[in-house]
Amino acid sequence: MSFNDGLIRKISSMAERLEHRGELLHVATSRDQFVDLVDIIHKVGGRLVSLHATDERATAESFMMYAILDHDGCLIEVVSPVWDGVPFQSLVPRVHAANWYEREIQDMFGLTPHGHPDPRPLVLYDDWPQDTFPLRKDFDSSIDIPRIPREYKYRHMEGDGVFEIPVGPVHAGVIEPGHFRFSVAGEPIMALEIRLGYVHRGVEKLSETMPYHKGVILAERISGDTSAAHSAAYCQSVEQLFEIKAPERAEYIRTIILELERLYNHLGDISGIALDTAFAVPAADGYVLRERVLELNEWLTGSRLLRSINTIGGVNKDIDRDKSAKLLSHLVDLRLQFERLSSTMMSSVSMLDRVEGTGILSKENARSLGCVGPIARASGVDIDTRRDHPYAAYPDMSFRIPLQKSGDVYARTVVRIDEVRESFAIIEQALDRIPNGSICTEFTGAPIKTTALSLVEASRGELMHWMIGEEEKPFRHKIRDPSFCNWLGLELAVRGDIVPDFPLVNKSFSLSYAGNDL
Amino acid sequence: MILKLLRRLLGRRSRTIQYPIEQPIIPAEFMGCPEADMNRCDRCDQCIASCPVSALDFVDEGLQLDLSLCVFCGECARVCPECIVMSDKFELASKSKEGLKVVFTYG
Ligand code: SF4
Ligand code: SF4
Repeated sequence: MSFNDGLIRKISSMAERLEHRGELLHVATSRDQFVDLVDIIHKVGGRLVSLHATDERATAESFMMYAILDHDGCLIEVVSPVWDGVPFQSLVPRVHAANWYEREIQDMFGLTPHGHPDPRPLVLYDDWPQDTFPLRKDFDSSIDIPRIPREYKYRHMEGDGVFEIPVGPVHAGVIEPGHFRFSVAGEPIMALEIRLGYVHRGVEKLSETMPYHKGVILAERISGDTSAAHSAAYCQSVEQLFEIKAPERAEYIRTIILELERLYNHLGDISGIALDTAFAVPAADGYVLRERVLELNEWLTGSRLLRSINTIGGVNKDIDRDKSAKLLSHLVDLRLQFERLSSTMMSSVSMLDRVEGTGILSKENARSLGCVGPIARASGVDIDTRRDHPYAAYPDMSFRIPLQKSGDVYARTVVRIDEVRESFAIIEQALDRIPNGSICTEFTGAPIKTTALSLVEASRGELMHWMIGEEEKPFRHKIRDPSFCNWLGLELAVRGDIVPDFPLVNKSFSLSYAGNDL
Repeated sequence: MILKLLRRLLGRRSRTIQYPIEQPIIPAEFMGCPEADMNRCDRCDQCIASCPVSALDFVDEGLQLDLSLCVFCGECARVCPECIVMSDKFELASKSKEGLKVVFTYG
């Protein structure tokens, strides 16, 4: 895809340096122009993929701030310096999607956004000292951090008959921990505030200490049910840094396991939605199917959650002819069972009554928050990394990208059901066309000096790993899980719904806490 | 409809087994407890360097694996396929933390 000439001219008039790096346009600009430049790209339809900082004080005498935008299939990386102690102009008034990113930068680097409408901490614990910034290079992770009691200020709604329902202090089921605070007047929810960060493990900092081959194992554990996508994204960015290319056969195997991951996650989500509408029969049937896919994963690769398969330069496990044939025959059966499940679900009036019109996320809101994945597609935003920035063997695959318009639980269910069908088709195509050859190239060489960016469509949506490399390990590793973009969508979607619908809407969003908190 | 459903349900086999009386079928690719054959080991410490969680270390008698740390990633078996395999052992519980330390002794 080529860049629009007019836009390029506009960008270059504001840029200090402009560089085409493969699919990516790298634009260096001054601090004063940064916000305007990002805003210009945003106005013509550019979507904010990530906004993050790096501590380059040792080499560039400043922090650097990177904004990654996706405009019409072209990726643009805008970079400008930011100085310690000088607040930077906030993007949020113009680009709403920058909200959480800037709060995260504030927590991690101690750089303050000026003009941010909501500059509260985001990921760090309430009692984390206010002058300690973990992603700065001079932060010593070996010392114990003193705990300084501090209170997180929730937003309050006031008025006659307005009540708050806190779910927590920390709501922790078998799923992950978070705090939800509803403001209600009677049954309907007027506002929901979500507080996360309870599973913040410092993954990005940890990754800066991990040699690349160990980093893969770390990436697999960022968010348990997204291990294949995270490790694929990690490996792809390291491969970019070292300018190596995985053999074609490995790309096909990656595609197959990425789709298997999507399959078991979507099956789990679809069953979860059925369960939360108290429709137990299809829920149980769906969980049986999910379990069958997990068992298939284990038989195929040795790991139910598809771990230890991706490696830098390719994959660790091959799919030989016997396996391929057996996998195909399982898929045929799974498909049949799945069709039965989806027709049971989608023909039940009581189920439809519960999901239709519940938890609506409008297209405008999904766009402005930068939502990704099935959540965005259910609201009519046509994005899918597999098509827009193809990787692995996706350029050779033909598949449809299901879209819905209504943005409710129903739409999110239907999008997932359709995506399951597409996943079956993609796996079959990949197994059919898989080329012969080796499954891994050697990992050698030295890293390039520029940044590496890899996007993968995980089951929850677009996932980004971005890296500046050093010889042995990453200098900076930014991870942006799809859930980070979608959580705020949930806050908007439940407004006006009744409290008992929240679990259902939440399930239909199916968000990862660990992936968000990092 | 009902009859069809009944027939389907009656035709279903049980999906669980009577563990531990019955043993599960372990797939060939399964990655259970790593096992080292120290007779072939030349103490190069590649496996120790490759382990992302430092679960492996040399002790006087041989190579020690700390199962309380191991994440069963298979990296050690990948760098040293001559000595280390990911076995199909999965019953690894122990009553004490010390009991989770397995030592593969030199032959
Ligand atoms: S087990 Fe293998 S890798 Fe480990 S020390 Fe012995 S020879 Fe080296
Ligand atoms: S399987 Fe992984 S974690 Fe366990 S000892 Fe081997 S390298 Fe270490």
